[in-house]
Order: sequence, then C-alpha cells, then structure tokens
Amino acid sequence: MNNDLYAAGIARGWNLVDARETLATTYNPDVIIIGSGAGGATAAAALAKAGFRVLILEEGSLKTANDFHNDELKAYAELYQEGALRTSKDGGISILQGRTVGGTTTVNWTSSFRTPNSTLAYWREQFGIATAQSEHLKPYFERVEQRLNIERWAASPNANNAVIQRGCEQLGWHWDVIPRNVQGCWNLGYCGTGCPTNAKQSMLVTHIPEALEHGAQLIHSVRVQQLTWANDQVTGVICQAMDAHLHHTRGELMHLQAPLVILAGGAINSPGLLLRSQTPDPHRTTGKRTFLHPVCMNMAVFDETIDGFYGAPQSIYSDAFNDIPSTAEMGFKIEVAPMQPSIVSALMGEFGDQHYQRMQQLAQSNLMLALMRDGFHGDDHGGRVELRANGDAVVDYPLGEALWNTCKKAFMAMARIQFAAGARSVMPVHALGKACTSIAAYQAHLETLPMRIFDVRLSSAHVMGGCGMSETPEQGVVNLSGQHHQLRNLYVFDGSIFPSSIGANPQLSIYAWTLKLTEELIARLGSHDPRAQ
Amino acid sequence: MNRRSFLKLSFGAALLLATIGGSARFLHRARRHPAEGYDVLRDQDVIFFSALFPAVIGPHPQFQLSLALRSLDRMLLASSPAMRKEVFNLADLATFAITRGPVTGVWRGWQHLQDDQIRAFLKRWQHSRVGLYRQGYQGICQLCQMAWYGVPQAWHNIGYPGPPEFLTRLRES
Ligand SMILES: Cc1cc2nc3c(=O)[nH]c(=O)nc-3n(C[C@H](O)[C@H](O)[C@H](O)COP(=O)(O)OP(=O)(O)OC[C@H]3O[C@@H](n4cnc5c(N)ncnc54)[C@H](O)[C@@H]3O)c2cc1C
Ligand code: SF4
Repeated sequence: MNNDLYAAGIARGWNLVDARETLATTYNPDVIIIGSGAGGATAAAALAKAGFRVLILEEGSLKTANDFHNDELKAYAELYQEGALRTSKDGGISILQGRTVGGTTTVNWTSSFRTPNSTLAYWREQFGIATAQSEHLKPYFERVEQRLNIERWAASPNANNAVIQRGCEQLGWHWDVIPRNVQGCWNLGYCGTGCPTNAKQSMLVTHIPEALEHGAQLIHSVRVQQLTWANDQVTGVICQAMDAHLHHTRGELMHLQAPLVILAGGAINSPGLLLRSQTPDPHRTTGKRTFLHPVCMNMAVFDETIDGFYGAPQSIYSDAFNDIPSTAEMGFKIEVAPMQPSIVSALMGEFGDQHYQRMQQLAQSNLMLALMRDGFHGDDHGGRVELRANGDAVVDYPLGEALWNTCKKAFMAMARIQFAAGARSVMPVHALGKACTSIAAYQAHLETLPMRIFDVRLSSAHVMGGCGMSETPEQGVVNLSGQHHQLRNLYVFDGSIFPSSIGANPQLSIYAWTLKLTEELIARLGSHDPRAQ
Repeated sequence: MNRRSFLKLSFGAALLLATIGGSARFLHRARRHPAEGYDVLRDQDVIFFSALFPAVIGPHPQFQLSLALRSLDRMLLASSPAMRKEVFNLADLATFAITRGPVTGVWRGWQHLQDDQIRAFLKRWQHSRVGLYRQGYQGICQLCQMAWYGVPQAWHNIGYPGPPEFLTRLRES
C-alpha cells in the first residue's frame, strides 16, 4: 500500500515545488489556480488535460499517505486551517477546514451527495441560475462519480452509524446509505486525519496527480496574499512562502503573472483574498451570504460497544427533516461524526469528575449531528466574511432565533432516534447538558437549557458561499460561468460560489459544478492560448 | 465579592474589565515572551493552565501536567494569531493582580488555590450570564481537554485502543 504516489510521480518528472526551498519559477503559466482543494484540483486536471499550462498555488504543504499516522493533534496542526481551532468571529461556531495539498478533501469524511433538487430549484427561483437543473448537471455528476469511484457504502455500517439506521427503522423515518468516494477502503475510520491507505479518492490522489501528469506545476507551502488587477482584468498574484511549520509567511514577496486566474481557496479564504486585494465590489456583495451548515449534536450512551472511532465515519444518514420548511426555521440532515478522543473530549461537556466519567464511556457512546441547511429563507443571509487587522479572513455569523428554534427541533429529533435505537441515555451537546434516560426526561431537560451562544456547542465542517453565483451583479460576485462580475479574466471555482448552503455534504456539488464551469470555459477559450480570449 | 454579586456583574462591567485587561497586557510587557521550554505559552499562561488543567481533566490516573502543557503549546502554535491573542487576553485578565479578583472571583494567586476553589471558579464562569465568561469557560475546557486526550498516555484509561496497530506494522515493513 505504500507505493508512494508522489515519490513515483516525482521520479517521472512531476513539477512539484516546495516554496520553503525556492520560490523562483521560470514556468510561464496560461492560468494560475489558487488552492488545490475540491474546486482547484478539479479545474487544474481539466485545464491541464486540455493542454493549458497550469500553475497551482497551495498554502498548505504536501503531506501524503506515508505522513498520515492517525494522530489527531498532528493532523489538526498540519492539515487544518488555524490548526483546527478556527471559529466564527464571535467564537459561537467552531469551523473545520483543510489546508494542505488536496485541500479539505484530504481530511474530509468521504460522504458524497449530489446537489438536492430543492436546492437547485431555490437557486433558479431566487438567483436566476437557469443552469441549476438536475438534468443539465447529471452528466457531470455521473462522470465525477465514476472518476472518484463514488458508490453507496457496501459494507455494513459501523455501530455508530447503525444507530441512525436502527432508530429510524423503529420510528418509520427516512434513512439511507451514504455514497462514498473510496476505492478499496480498509474501513479504518481515520478519514479526518488523512487516509493512510490512499483508499479515499480525495484530490490528493486523483485530480492533483492527473494535473501533474499533464504537465501542471504545483507550488505548495505558499500563500497568495493579493491579486493584482487593473481596470477589468487581473494581472497576477502576489505570494509569499510559508515558514518551516507553516505558521507564518516569510521572505520575499513574489509577483506571478498569468492571463487567467482561478480562485479556489475555499469559502472564507476566497472572498477574504478578494477583500484583501480590494477588487471592485460596487454592490458590496463580496463575502456576504457565507453559509456553514451549522451543526448541533447529541451524545448517547449504549449498553453495547459502539467503538465510534473505528470504521467508515459516515455511512448512514436521515433526511426525515431535510426539506425546506415554509417557516424561518431550517431543515436539517442527520448524520454521525467519527469519535476519535481529542475532538470528542471537547464535546463531552462539564469538567473534572463528570467529564472524566463521560470520557470513560467513549467506546459506548454515539455522537449524532444535525446539519442545518442555512440560506433558504428570505431573512437568512448567513454570515459575512471580513478581514482582521492583520488581513486574515474571518466570518461574522450572527446566531438568530430561527437557528435556536431549529436546534431545539434537531436535538429532539436526534434524541428520538437514539432512544429508539436503544440508547441508555442521551445528552444534548450543551455546556449545561445532562444525560437523560428517557425521551420525556430529555424533553423536560431541553426546556430548561438556554439556547444561546457558547452554551450550545455549534460547529461547522462545510463552509459555502461568499462569492455567490448570480445572474445580475447586484446579487452575487460571479456570473453563471463562475466569472467575476467585474474582472473578466478572474474565475472562482470552489464552494464559495454557491448562493446558499447545499443542504447536503458539499464536496460532490463542488466537483461537478467546477467540472462543468471549467469545461465551458475551455470551450469558450477555444484554443490553448487564453491570451486570445 | 461573593458568588452572587459576581454573577450580577453586568456586561458593562465585564467590558470595563476587558479594557483593564488590555492595560494589564501593557503592564505585563516584561512577560510577553514564551516561557522557557515553550513556543507559545508565557509564564502567566503556564501558571494559569497549570492550575486549571488538573481541575478540568479530573481524576485521570495517567494525567501528567508537563505532557498536557506541551500538547497545549503545540496546539496553540499551529493555530492563528487571532486565537493566540484570545488565549493571551484570557490569561492576562485572569492572572493580572488588579483584574484577577473581580473577573475570576479568585483573589489569591493561582499557584495557591485548592482544587475546590478552582472548581468553583469554573462553575461560576460556566453558569454566568456574561457571554465573555461563558466563552472563557468553553475555551479553557475545550483546549485542556483536546490537548490531553490527544496524547497516547490518555487513551488506555478511556477504552480507546489507539490507531490499529497493523497499520504501523505495515508502514514499517
Ligand atoms: C472534517 C471534515 C469532514 C468533511 N466531510 C465531508 C464529507 O464527508 N462530504 C462532503 O461532501 N464534504 C465534507 N467536508 C467538506 C468538503 O471537504 C469541503 O466543503 C470541500 O473540500 C471544499 O472545497 P473547496 O474547493 O471550496 O475548498 P478546499 O477543499 O478547502 O480547498 C481550498 C484550498 O485552498 C488553499 N488556500 C486558501 N487560501 C489560499 C491562499 N491565499 N493561497 C494559497 N492557497 C490557499 C487552502 O489551503 C486549501 O487547501 C468535510 C470537511 C471537513 C473539515
Ligand atoms: S475509512 Fe477508508 S477512506 Fe477513510 S481513512 Fe480509512 S481506509 Fe481511508
């Protein structure tokens, strides 16, 4: 299993540069792509295959299967934005995003859903995105599914996931098997710390190698600080190498130029870079409408062993509550989270004796989560990206009544599933949460809990929007081609172009939309020379 | 100040204290560098977290403060300037002699506290109406917990066997 893909590739002549060693490049690219995640890698592969000279710039470093030791803290420090300690501006929501070659796909949990029809309909109606049609998108979804080997998980779910199946079956609620982008998965459960077997078909082992195989250059450990632009054109990027441990940038600023730039730094970072570059923004849309699928959670304890730290992290889900409600409340998708001890310890609540007792039940615990689909109501504008004094991007995400009401509903729904599946006790993940032994006791307990910031432990692993697609410049940042409304040779191809949240785990939406937009761009360019645009 | 009057501390007062905390940092200038043996934690952070760690982790028989502190230091090193600043502000506010009493209800130095006094402090912040304190409570607990349960020495006792061993063996073969 350890035939290292990258060692072999480098031996075959892959053009890989560690900016910490040198930033000097003589490569003369047709297109610069900022970010090597879901969007960036997919665009890079398509463009490189079409004969374009592609330069990919990635802030994270190159870590591959041989570096992935299932060590949580090492992974959080090396592979995640802000060492996995990123939060929204007021600290109300913890935000997980990747920062490494392959972007967040290197650390994600492999759940792969198409964009729900209800989401596409909302985009057509509210943002004039006529192309948001499942028939139109179908060929792109099918090709990505084939390329990344996306299939319903065929093995049995681990006991953590089986709780959803058993509980929903008992209640007569919807549940189904999750399709995953894996090939020869060892069912280990460490997708979040980087797949040690290369089974996960992340960008690290698929589109990035494909782009490199077709002559693309990848410079990693380099941060793009600004775009340079004049009139209605970007002219290039200003970037700077990271230090040895990727903590800070250091050394000389480098100005790289290309006739075409694709921004794919992911939500928060992509609009952040536009704001730092003071790109034209006549309607003040940049960074607005950033969505998080805010997550609230329930911890249940069972008599039997669950061992939620082992086995494919997500294999069963329930959409029993995932429609778009007519009220201001949100729908939510129910899944579970993998249960490695460091991250779970932060969710057990309490401290001292009580926390320790709860930790001792780790192997019998089940951690269920509800992903709230934000951005589907006229009053729900999600969050807004701004810059800190030092230029770092941060999302200001206000927590309103609709969210708290949805939390209450989601807490109850999850508790019902957990009790129906045979839980001995269920506890809301809340600073004052207590384990309850019946649904009635849980409901009564929930009534006493304040639904407010810091008490309800909210988190997010899905950041979307901030450079929304829209027919008109008043409503978004890019047009239906992903082209910036004001800068003609700047495109945004990543999760930030979605005008609302997806309402399902977003990676497959990002792959398929990026593939479509990139191929349309290639067709428009019509030749290998974007200078002829 | 007793517990009741502490709980009544208004948000305005909290803000005022946060401001004093700002000048506390200024006065703290001499102690703004990492402590000996750490990359991020300063002397006052080491004092603060040394007092808190045992109370937050509880009766874990393998607990080792030095390991836990080093793990926390590594986590903060990998985080962001904004995150480090928040932790520094909190530690400054809680350890600086002028603000410590009114903000934390802890009137003596952190080094001299009994376990039950530290637990009382955590409870006060956990149940506070002031967001700033609840945020502090959450931050302290989550950082300490993640740091400790991320080290292998913590695992045996909670029934986590660690990553499958065959992986390590395969890698070495
Ligand atoms: C723990 C976790 C589990 C997840 N599980 C799932 C799942 O099971 N299914 C699913 O569908 N989704 C999942 N997601 C979310 C999904 O992986 C992301 O939504 C998706 O990868 C986002 O793609 P993107 O292209 O927008 O950005 P990313 O994949 O995040 O890539 C952006 C890249 O750009 C780089 N970058 C940013 N700014 C700069 C700059 N200025 N200069 C240079 N480089 C820069 C970043 O370092 C990063 O590597 C998960 C996320 C997390 C954190
Ligand atoms: S569960 Fe499968 S895909 Fe995830 S880390 Fe393990 S082998 Fe890789």
